Amino acid sequence: MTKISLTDVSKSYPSPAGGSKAVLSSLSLEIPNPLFTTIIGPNGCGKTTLLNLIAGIVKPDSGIVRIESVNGFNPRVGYVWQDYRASLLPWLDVAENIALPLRIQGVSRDTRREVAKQILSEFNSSIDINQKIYQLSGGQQQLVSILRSAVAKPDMLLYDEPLSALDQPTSWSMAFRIEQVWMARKVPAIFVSHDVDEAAMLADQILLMSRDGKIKSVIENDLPRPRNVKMLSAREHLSARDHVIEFLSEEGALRDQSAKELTQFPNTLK
Amino acid sequence: MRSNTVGIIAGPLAVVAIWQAAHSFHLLEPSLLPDPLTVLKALYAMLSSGSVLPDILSTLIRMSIGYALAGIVGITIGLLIGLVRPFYDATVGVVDFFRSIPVTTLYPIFVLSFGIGHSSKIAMVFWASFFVITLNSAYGVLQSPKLRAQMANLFGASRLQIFRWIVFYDALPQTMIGLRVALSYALIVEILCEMFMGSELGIGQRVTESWTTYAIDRLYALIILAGMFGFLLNRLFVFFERRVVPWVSR
Repeated sequence: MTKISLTDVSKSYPSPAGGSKAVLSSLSLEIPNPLFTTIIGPNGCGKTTLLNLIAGIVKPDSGIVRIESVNGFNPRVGYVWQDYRASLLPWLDVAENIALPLRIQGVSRDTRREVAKQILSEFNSSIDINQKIYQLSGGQQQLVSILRSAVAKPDMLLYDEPLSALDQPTSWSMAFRIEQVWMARKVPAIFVSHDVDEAAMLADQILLMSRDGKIKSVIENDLPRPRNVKMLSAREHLSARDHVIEFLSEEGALRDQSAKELTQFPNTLK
Repeated sequence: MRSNTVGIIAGPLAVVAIWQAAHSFHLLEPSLLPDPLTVLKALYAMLSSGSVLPDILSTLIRMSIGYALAGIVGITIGLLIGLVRPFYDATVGVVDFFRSIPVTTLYPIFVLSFGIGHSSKIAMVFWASFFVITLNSAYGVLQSPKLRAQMANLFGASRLQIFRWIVFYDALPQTMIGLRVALSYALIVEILCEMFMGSELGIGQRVTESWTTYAIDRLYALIILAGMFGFLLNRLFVFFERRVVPWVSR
């Protein structure tokens, strides 16, 4: 069991104009195990900062970020970045990329390769473990990155807009791979997104973040799992996405045209 | 025949054709530049008799020793400069300054320090190669994407693991650029040293001999040989580079 809690957390960064710009201010949040939480909000509202605070990549200026897991207060983090190319190691093959966290833990080469093979087969992927990263398509590269995040039995899974660099069909296929990985690992997942359908479809709960770096509301999505593209027309999904669109419109995060398109039926099903 | 193969053959043939045409129309003074056939005959004679092979070998050995030493020391120091910020701040200006001094102006100092034997030539090749290798290795580290190191750190890697498994490889493409530029410098400086300092054997030494004895056909044959030697070294390096950093430009 992993419990993620943030109490009164604030974070600011130096502003290019001088001084500092507050990104998060007095944010308190609890993410229970093993919910799938998505975070959506306007650009610059602090979504990635929040994710990086939870991961321990950045430290808060004030407040407490507390992660309790089976590994005590030193949790294993599975993280998937938007820029998968820059996060993978092109000089290594697929097996060594997937199993990098195991290599860091001192697991032998033979075992690492065996584990990489197993995890690829567990998630029905036909990628050859001996291929180099640069020989793979974008979707396959992101899949390697997704599997790497899950290979070392992480205490939580964090995703920073992992699908935004992929084309739409690949993006949905990867979204459901992410769900599959999360369901297999049974740990909290936090998924930062700027895509309304993606955020609504994957989530048990959607955190709506406003420009001032606060959580404005939490929307529940009770759709059964595993989910699929057909559920984009389900009542629960449509209701959740309507809430998200309304919130983003209030925040001025949608241009008129985008708002008009989003209030129509999901593009994917047209 | 593939179009690039045609291009590779057509380019040199065109140069020889223009050269020959200039001769046929008496546009060139034969005592300054003989016709292509005369030069090619001299080149063939040198190569078929094997008389020039000890010179090629001698140039190659001295150049390789200086270049290899510069590679080992330059990459080590370059990685350190890139990794340790205070070391970078303290050294980068000095390294850049010494790199900017044309190594030929230091010729008297090398002769005074090492004499006119092999050592001074190796030292000058080392000097010419060292700074460009050092700076490129340092820049390789400094320009390596921070995301990979952040990723490994998040997965619990130590600083040594991050260096060995990530930063070193990220710095390799830029390091290879330094090594490639340095290879050309090394050959130029080695041949110049042989010409200035004199040497029992060496391509530069043979060039000076041909020039002073007015064996113009041999002089041009040696120039072409030196060019071919540099071209082949460069091709060999590119072949090696593609195997060391195959992910670059993919």
